[in-house]
Amino acid sequence: MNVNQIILGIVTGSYYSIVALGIVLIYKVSGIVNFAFGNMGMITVYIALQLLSLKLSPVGAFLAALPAAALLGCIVERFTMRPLKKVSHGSMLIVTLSIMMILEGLAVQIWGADYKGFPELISGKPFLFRIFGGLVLLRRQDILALSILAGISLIIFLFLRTTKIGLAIRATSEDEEASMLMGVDTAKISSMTWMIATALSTTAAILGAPKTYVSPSMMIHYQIEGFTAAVLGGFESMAGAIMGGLLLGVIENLVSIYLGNEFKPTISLLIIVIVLMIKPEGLFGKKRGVRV
Amino acid sequence: MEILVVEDLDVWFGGVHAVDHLHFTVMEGEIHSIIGPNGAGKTTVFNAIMNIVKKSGRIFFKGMDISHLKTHEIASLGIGRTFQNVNLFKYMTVLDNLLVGYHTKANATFLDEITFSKKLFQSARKALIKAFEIADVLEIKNRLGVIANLLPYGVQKIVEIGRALMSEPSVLLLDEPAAGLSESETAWLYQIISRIKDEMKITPILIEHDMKLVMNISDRITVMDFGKKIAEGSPAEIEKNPEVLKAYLGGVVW
Repeated sequence: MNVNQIILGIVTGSYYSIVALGIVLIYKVSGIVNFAFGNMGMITVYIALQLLSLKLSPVGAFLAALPAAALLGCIVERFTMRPLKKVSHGSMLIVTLSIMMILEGLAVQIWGADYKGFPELISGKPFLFRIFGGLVLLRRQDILALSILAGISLIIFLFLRTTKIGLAIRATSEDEEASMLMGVDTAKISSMTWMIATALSTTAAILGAPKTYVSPSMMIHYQIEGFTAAVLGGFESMAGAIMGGLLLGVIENLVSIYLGNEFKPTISLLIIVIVLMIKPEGLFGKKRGVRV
Repeated sequence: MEILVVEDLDVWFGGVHAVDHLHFTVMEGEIHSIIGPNGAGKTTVFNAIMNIVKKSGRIFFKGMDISHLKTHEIASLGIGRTFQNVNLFKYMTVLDNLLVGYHTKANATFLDEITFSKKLFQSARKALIKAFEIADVLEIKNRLGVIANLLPYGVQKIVEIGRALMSEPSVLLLDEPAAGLSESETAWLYQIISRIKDEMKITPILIEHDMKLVMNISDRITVMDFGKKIAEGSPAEIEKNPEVLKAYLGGVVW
């Protein structure tokens, strides 16, 4: 087994995990599979890029883009999701697809379709490890992505477990009507979830931007991979989303080594189909039996 | 004193007049029951009070017009509700279920939570004390750590009442609490409702099919049929009312 590729796979996977985490968060609370998720992050990368041109440091631009992301998430939730709440899941899917297109078109109109560079948040000499005889080269940015993923996972876990709002989010994700009757402002909870999730999308987009370059279609790949990771891990489970992302990264890297690079994009779509056929609740999702 | 006044309430589901010019008044400290055949619109009345369905008419709670408030705002004012079919957060523990019920009372802000302020701990402490108090009264203390879905049906119903009690409501809407309970569980429920009224000073409003329970426990009964109020009065009056007997003829016999 090629240890080198596994480690690099985990690194790539951490980007997928961040995206998957956001997609699952939105799904759990509002029951929507959000295909516009990646592109919402893409818009905020452009905002960060604008801030960079104002001589802000990369980290400063990243931190400033987070509130912008929250605002965007809030707007999309308030003006499309909330008024359309009663429509079917299928229709909702189409709505998120059209938001994805609208955002992409908007970005082309405002910033153009050409590729732009984005600096790494931390630059410097990459780390070189020797593990089991193999050499592993890790960029500082990748290590940052891994640590951010670990940090976010821990924070979200604690937030959902221990805080009043976290409890309200969990309650809303289980039963919205009952939560309202408990005095939970579910509309506010939904907004907050979209804000947090969009900030996650921005995080993945900005961390990945030095590799993907900034363009209106920069997040398509992450969107698909994040979705695959969520399916792989089980759409209901946050931990599943994280594990699914990391696993997907590893699988992809091994596939590109042993089968060839051109199989890489196919494999994730294949995984979606296979998982849905064999284990629809995902590798880490629990089968929720219905009591009769 | 009147605690809840329903005035001229109308609810339409398409062409169906589910609730038809309904008005009734609930006095503080009384157990008020709403009875009627299946499909009479009883549950819809509860949904209208909580503003879950579209309605016209006015509803006053402690003299204040609440007809235009949102569901969570009405809940925060002090109206709790349980469901005909248990509506717990199935995959959360009993304790977490109770704590969600405390949502409106927990006064720690987001800022308190991320800074671990003193207020956060005070609030969390109060919530836990309240949860244990209620679990004690309802005798579900040894079930606090259990996932709600795994409990027997009767216990789930009790937990649901507990969750509603957590917000310290002044009015508690109980939608068929005895449905699906055994005789001994119903007797236990009877005691609980009496304690809720006497010890916690909460005014229960009851929808119930179990006539023995209704006749024993109620101070006042409103009878509905086809969305309309057909009678109102004390249990003794209702028992003799010819309109009521007609509505129930061939239906439930008590």
